[in-house]
Amino acid sequence: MNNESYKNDELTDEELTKSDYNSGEEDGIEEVQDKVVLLGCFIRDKSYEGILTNAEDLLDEPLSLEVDEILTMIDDLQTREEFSDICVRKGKEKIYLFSENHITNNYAKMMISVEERDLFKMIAETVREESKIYPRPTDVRLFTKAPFKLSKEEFYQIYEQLKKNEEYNDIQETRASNNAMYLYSDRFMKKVHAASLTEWIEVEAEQNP
Amino acid sequence: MANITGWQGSLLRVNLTTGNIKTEDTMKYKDLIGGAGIGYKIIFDEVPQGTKAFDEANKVVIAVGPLTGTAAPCSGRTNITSLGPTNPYHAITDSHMGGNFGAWLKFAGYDGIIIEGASKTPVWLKIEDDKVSIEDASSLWGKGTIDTEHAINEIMGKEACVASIGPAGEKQKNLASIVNSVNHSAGGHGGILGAKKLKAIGILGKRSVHLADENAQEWLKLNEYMMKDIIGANNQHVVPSTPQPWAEYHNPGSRWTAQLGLFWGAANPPVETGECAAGDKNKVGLRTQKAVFDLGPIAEERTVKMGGCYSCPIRCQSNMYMPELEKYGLTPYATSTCINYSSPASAMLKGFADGDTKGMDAMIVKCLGSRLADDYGIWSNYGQLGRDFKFAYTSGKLKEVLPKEEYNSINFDLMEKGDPAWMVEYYGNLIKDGEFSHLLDGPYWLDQRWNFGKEYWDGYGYNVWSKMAYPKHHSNEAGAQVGALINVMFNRDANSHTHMNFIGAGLPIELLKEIAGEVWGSPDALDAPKNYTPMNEYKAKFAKWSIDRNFLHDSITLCNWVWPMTVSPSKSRNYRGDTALESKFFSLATGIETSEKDLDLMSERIATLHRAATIKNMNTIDMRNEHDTIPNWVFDVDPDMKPFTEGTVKLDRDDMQLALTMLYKEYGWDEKTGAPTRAALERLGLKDVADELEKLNLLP
Ligand code: SF4
Repeated sequence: MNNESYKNDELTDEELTKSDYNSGEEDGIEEVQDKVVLLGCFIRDKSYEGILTNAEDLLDEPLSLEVDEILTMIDDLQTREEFSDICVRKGKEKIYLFSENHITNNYAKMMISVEERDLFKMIAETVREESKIYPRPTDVRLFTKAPFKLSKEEFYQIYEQLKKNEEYNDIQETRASNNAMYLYSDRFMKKVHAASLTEWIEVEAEQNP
Repeated sequence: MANITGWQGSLLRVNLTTGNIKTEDTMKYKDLIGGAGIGYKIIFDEVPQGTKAFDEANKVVIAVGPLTGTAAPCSGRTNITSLGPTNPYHAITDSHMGGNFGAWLKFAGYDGIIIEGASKTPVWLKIEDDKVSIEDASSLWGKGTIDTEHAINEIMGKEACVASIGPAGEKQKNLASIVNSVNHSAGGHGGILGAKKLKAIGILGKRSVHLADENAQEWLKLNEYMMKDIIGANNQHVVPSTPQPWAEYHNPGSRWTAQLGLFWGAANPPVETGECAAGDKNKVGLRTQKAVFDLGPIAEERTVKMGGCYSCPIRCQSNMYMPELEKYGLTPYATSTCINYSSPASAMLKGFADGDTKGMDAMIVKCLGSRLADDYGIWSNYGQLGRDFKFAYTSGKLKEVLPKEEYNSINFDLMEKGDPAWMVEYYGNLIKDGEFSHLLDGPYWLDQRWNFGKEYWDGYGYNVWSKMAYPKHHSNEAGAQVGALINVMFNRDANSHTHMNFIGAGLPIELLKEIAGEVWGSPDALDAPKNYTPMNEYKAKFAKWSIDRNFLHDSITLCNWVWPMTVSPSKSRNYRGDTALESKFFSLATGIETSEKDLDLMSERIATLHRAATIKNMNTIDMRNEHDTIPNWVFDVDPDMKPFTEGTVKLDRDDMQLALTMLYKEYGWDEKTGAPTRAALERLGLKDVADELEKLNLLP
């Protein structure tokens, strides 16, 4: 794996942002384009702060778009090459926008499930994903951290409900010898494997630094 | 010498018997790179077969490499090579320290110091560029490493870097360390300096380390590229420990702990680590908030800053404000990392008074214990010291072997109650002259003396590796046969982190397997954690590569707790690292155009030389049966489970014999014995080594 990319000249910040502001002609068509550019930049700025843009936010200042122009403008934005980093995701009722330069798809998925308060799905899909790809059981303390930010009590309340729901009966519990609780999906991980990995993560890894 | 760059071109040879001091040309060793490579050759050539570690005929080689003292990231490590007193055969070992000593050695104009002979009275070595002298250390003998450092700094000035031994080294304990810059310790050779009555070395230098002509701009570009696109956090973990907007993946076990709302809380004003996204080269030093990783969330408010070794942007050593230590007569600070924190806690057999393994009592224990261990110059033997104490105490052996009066004089009640004051009692008794202090003999000699028996050797939790009696260090639990093979190849615990860094990088298994395929020829080189498959040739390649890179890093010198760059945090590179980076830095520093393949061959040369030296020390070629043995617990753990089933790290005896054969084959060694053949040695330019082994009847 010999990589020579350090020899490539990088674009400067100035060059990277130049295209955002180049289309500022003052006739009517360009004005619409301006708004699209502003929309793109607005989404990027919010993403930089780690915030998803909800299409409804566009009604408010600073963009103050009309309801009937929002969808057209989003469509327009998606055709612009210079805004290929802007992603659009449809939720149950809302549309979410973000720049993948600042928010990854995986994180946006978590944020949307939090935003939509689809908490069973949020927990189950996170656990399934971790059991499948890493693979590892999920430390339930994860759900008290960003972007989930549930209190411990909230988590346990939701989890108790989730356990009764057929749709999520693949989500199983396992505990380390120090009693820390982890979840896994038995679609992707056997019980014995989950238990043993839990013990490794929670207890053994620290003894083998 | 005008054209030598990277290296300084001189080795210092100090004979403590005669008082002779001279310099020698480094460049005769240039094919062995530096550090460990130089150390192995000198010990192989110059220390007679049959010499024991504390004999006058043993030598100590403190050496660094062409990258030490440059601005290459994480290049501030120092390698120490000598016979290993913990090893049953006193076979060759090396110990490693970070801090500043290696860079200072280069600045004084040297690539290494060869210490030979033994003084009759305590001495210290004073190095100020070309002025090198052996000084009287009678006023330093008996002092801890911190007071020794202060006393020498009083003489040489505070800019001098001092490495010294504490009481454990003076008393020729096997588990003794050499400590520089307060807390950077190299474990296992302190007692040898004690036997030679060499208390300390102080260094002050005014030279620079030169890069090859006209390479400065290329060097800066390479550095920029590494810092921006390649480097991760400590252990080259490349994903953060919590979900973060910029990161596709996360891993709670990652040392990339930086996140919004996490601080160096005792800094004035407090410093927020914030999110340190991949690509942001200016935040690399904030990524690893290691205090909370090592000591738990309670450590955040006590973290003054993260410190580290010379030229390291990762900074894995936490500097702590701990006023609780004043109660024990210490200053209110502590600084340490990793095993040096966890080892003291392992001697708290009944836990902590407040019942919390991550609470204040645990933090006091870890800070107090690491301070005392460093000051007394005690080596934890990668945590084995605590496990040996545990076995001795819980089995009743300690009561049996200690004289009644001595046993009753030790306040075990403190430990029973989880009182941090047990640290003072524990370490204090380890450096006294009683029977208790034999815990510092290390497993093999301790067992000879106290007769620990089968339960100890075969017990899974006691971690003792085979006949060689060192602790396991990322063995079968880390990459199955790969970790086990790495563990058989050394004469002390395997200080090879190459495989573990990769396995623990935090990326999804499929991605890691893809990368494994690119580096070692097949995704099958890597198994999913605790879901192993039988041995294959790619695992042997992975193991060999890991071992060779470890020898490379200890020679060139780079920190193997970060290097090599097998992966990166860069999504746009699809997390690929750059395994040619060592050779790029080497080429720019030395002016010798060296490809990754060339450097790999040099690393293999060093690995094979280590093997040859081991054979000479052990006086047998039957490495397979006498050296490369694997403890029973690797095969007998989880009695109800079969090897290669999900949920166990259990391996299979026959499969591991096959694994050894495959590894020997990768090196071109004799597949029956595991000893290098003449052909293998000559292929690597080690004909003189082959000749010497032949003379000793040690060629297969
Ligand atoms: S990562 Fe830690 S041990 Fe390695 S060079 Fe940096 S500070 Fe030293």
